[in-house]
Amino acid sequence: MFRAITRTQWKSSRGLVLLATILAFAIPIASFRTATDVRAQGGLFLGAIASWSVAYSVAAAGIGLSLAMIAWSPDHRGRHVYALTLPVARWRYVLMRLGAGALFIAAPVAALLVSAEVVAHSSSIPIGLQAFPIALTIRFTIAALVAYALFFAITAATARTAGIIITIIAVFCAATYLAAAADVHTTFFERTIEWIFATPGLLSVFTGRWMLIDA
Amino acid sequence: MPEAARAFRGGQGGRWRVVVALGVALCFPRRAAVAQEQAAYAHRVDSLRAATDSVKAALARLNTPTLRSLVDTVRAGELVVATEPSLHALAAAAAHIASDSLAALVGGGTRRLAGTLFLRSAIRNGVSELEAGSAASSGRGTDLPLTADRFTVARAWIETATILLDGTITGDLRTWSGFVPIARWDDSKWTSIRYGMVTAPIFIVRQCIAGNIAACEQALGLTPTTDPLTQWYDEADRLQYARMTVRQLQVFAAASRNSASAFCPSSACDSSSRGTRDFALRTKLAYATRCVGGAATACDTLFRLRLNESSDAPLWQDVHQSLLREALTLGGPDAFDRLANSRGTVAERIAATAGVPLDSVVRAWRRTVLTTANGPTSVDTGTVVSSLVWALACGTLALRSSRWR
Repeated sequence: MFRAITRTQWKSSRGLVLLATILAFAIPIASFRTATDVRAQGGLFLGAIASWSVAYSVAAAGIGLSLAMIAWSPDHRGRHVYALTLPVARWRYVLMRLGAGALFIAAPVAALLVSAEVVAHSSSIPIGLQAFPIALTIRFTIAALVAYALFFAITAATARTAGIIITIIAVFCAATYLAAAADVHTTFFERTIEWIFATPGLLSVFTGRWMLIDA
Repeated sequence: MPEAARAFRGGQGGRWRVVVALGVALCFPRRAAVAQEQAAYAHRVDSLRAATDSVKAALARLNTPTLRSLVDTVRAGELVVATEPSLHALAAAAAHIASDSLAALVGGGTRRLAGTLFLRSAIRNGVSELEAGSAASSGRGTDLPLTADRFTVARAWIETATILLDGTITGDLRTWSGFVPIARWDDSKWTSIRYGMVTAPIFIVRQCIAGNIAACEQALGLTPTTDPLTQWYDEADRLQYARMTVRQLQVFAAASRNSASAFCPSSACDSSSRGTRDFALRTKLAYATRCVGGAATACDTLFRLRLNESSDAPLWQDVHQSLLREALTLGGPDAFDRLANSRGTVAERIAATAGVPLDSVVRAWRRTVLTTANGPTSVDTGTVVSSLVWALACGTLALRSSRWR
């Protein structure tokens, strides 16, 4: 049954997976190319590499989000009737959907690794700098998995629950903005953000240095 | 007509004479009045300043630690600390911590601090506080809360001590390094040195990174150089510098386009220096543009202009401090004393501090710069585990979703 679910899920996800794979392959090469050009123009090589850091984390988050939404799209379209007709427990069905989607993350991850390795073996890396293709790929994989699992859980919930979660996030963002605008001094927002983004927070993997080449 | 005109001019001249005479007559008392006002104002300012000074002096007398009143002394290793009887226990505990830390950092150098450190209670703006510091550093210590523990007090003493000990190092070495890095460096400082060095567009620094110790010594300014232009920089560096110069000067010229002078806006320089500076920058831009265009001689001239501005060795003071830090580490507990007592060139003093030849110090320093643990590029285990736990938690939450919508 897992194979069948994977096959149907693949049909709806393949376009996205292909796009994600191309994107993941392109980022390391594009960042290296830019950094080499910047260096030739008298700029800072590492600064250029660092400016691409955000592209990795955004790509990981985007891939996780898109795959999670596509994983549930056939069920949402069919109003979950197909799942009800299957002779399997709900949790097993969800587990298979979760596993199938997680499997597709392997393609962009592999593309990123190959591309990062290509860059790592380039002779144009300035002496004294090191490439971290494996470390970057591990970080990318974990970030994509966290984003996928998070959005999979949100999408698996009822529309009402998803609405509540999104409302909470929106209210938090608005409150942070208003507090800053009104010059209200409170540590609540800082602590909440730290709780989310600092280890062992939910999104801690997205922070830190996403550097393919570093000193 | 000429007569009429002359008559008119004469009439005008007469009228002007009257106007000028009236003006002088009117202005004189006014100027006198203004002068009187200014004198009164100056007198008021002076009297207020005198009153303020006397209040300041009284406050300073109140705030200055009178070590004579600190009747109790605490001895820990080489440290002798003056304090009040009520603070004896805290001072003793803190002194032991500070003594151990300072002994590890400067060894026998701690002797130079004997009898200068103090801990006392103080009242600042009506609030009771503790004050920890040294009588040798302007007699003013670090204000600490009454609840400060022994570690906080020890930290304040160590900070004061490092400033005092730093002041004992003089001569060319001081100019070369800026200050003496007595405290140990953490990995991030070494990483930042490596960042700067590996990205510096300087040929001799690249040679140093590649393992050429003589190049390192030259780049650090420890050995003389005959021709910096060719020994420090290669063709690619010169071209890169020219490109950067062109870009910077074009941006600068664009930013000050509205001013009378392209390179020297009125806010930046006065009229006398404007012309000189304008000419220098235009010359520089001309050479840089020709260099980018492929004229090698223009590159050389441009670089010689740069070296005329500053002929310092290409590595900067942070890097110099890192070498000194390495020498202090290599030299062990007595390294600081050797540094303070040493004489001679910078290279000789560094070798004396480390207790080994200069080559060995530079070799060890280069290794430390290149091998000190990398920054957080590699994701740490804590983040990996917590992220996987969160992913599992989210997955488990999804498994519990309802089949009924």
